[in-house]
Amino acid sequence: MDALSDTLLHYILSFLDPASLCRSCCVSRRLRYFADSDRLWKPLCLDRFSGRHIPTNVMADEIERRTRNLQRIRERRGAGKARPEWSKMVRFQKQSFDVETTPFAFTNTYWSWKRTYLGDLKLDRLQRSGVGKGNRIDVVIAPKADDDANSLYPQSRREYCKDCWRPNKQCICDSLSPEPYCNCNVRLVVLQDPKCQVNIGTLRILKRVLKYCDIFVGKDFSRERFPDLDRILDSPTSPALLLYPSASALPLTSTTLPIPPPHGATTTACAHPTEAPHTTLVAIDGSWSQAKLIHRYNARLQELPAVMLAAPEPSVYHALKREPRRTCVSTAEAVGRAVGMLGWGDEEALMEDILRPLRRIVEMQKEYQVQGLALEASEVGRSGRSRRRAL
Amino acid sequence: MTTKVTLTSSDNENFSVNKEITKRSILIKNMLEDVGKSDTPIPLPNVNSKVLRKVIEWCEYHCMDPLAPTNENTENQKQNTDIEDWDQKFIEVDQETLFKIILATNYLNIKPLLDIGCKTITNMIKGKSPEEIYKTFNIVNNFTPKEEAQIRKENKWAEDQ
Repeated sequence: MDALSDTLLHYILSFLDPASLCRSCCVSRRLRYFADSDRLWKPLCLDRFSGRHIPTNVMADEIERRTRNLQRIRERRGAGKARPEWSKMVRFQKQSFDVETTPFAFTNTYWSWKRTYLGDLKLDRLQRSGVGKGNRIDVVIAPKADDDANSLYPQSRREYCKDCWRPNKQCICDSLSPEPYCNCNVRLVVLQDPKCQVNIGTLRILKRVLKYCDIFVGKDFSRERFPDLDRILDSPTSPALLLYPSASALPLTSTTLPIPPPHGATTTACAHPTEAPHTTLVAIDGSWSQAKLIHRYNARLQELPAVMLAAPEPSVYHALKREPRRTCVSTAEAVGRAVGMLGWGDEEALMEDILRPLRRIVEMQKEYQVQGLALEASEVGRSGRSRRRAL
Repeated sequence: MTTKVTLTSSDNENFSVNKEITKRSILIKNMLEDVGKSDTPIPLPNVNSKVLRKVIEWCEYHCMDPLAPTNENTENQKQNTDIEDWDQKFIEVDQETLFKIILATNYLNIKPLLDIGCKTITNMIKGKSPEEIYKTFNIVNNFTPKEEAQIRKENKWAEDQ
């Protein structure tokens, strides 16, 4: 191995897969030098992350923070001794923050494509504390509705249906409502925990039913992290309500509505939206503990007036997942009920459109349970877990 | 008209080879073009006779292949480390020879054979733990224990795969 020239060694390593590269890193210094090199990892990264959207402000924040750190170190060391990585930093500052050209993860001192591929080292700690500074998962925002659904989950090996975001085998397109209720006057914002991204398609139902529906993936929703979210929440024409049973939450009935319903509002499906939504409804999607953490750590959410459902009907989801209380329902149902009340439309029709695909999903999942397809079940579980880890 | 070219290995053994076959090697091809018609043997000081024999054997077998491989497909081939049957058998040699073949083909500039050699080594590395890798290639682990622990931690991801 020592006889090989550097070029040859690099060439040999370029045939390897990421896992093997990592393992060969641990072998010797020379191998590590080459197996860590950006030249090898950049193509792998681009292959893996192409099509994902990285908001520039996150990059800018990170660069600023690092530059400040370096500046401090520089001052401490004396101006004469510039660190070798300094020039590299400056170079990256000048570049546009484009994932095609710039890796977006740091090691201690430099941008590294390998780190970009593998994720942040601090990820463990972040996950333990629940909420933290931006990490790679936060950075991946769910694209707009017309984007290719497959680009949302590029890591999964299963084929996904582009319409309902579910595995092709379990497509529920036929029970989805054909047209969104575009004049239902409520804009829905779903804040989704990154761990929950492996959903079984309930959010898709909402996105299909409601004309205005935005999904943001992350844990830290403080100001300026998501420009789109800021714009929606700050909009003066549609005040935001948080759908979350916090201590101060008011039960949602027609009397607590912030704005009186406009005269003659009906919810027939129409092809052209005529008016902007009157109300913004913010919902948190995730397990109850995840939702709790998101609510607790985002002061901004606590400032919003909170509403909760007074006496919801038992969830159809109970067959699949156990909720902590009889009155707890799934995100999709809760949102459906709330929108029905806020949107002043035909609530039953709306609920039917949400419940129909939901029942279908529950049926499908139960079928798997009943058939006792242990293999299938373990497969679903495994792919879910590994995808979570890969992210 | 001469159709034979004489190659001289590092240990002074002469090989008389068909001119068409030597064109596999870009180095020799360029050399012949530069020199023109000449009967003087081409010295190859970096290649010994054992390895040269192997390389010529490969070139003779593959003399019917299209000469200039297109560069467009190289990216696709990167992840594909399958080797054809005949080549697989051909490359089943001890490690020292394998490395020598790779060095020789790199020197002679025979890309397809170089790829085969590299892929063989890649396949030897693939799926092995670091311990197995340095046993296989007789590499001395020159990390300090502290360094090694750190690197292992950084690359822990690979063990979950």
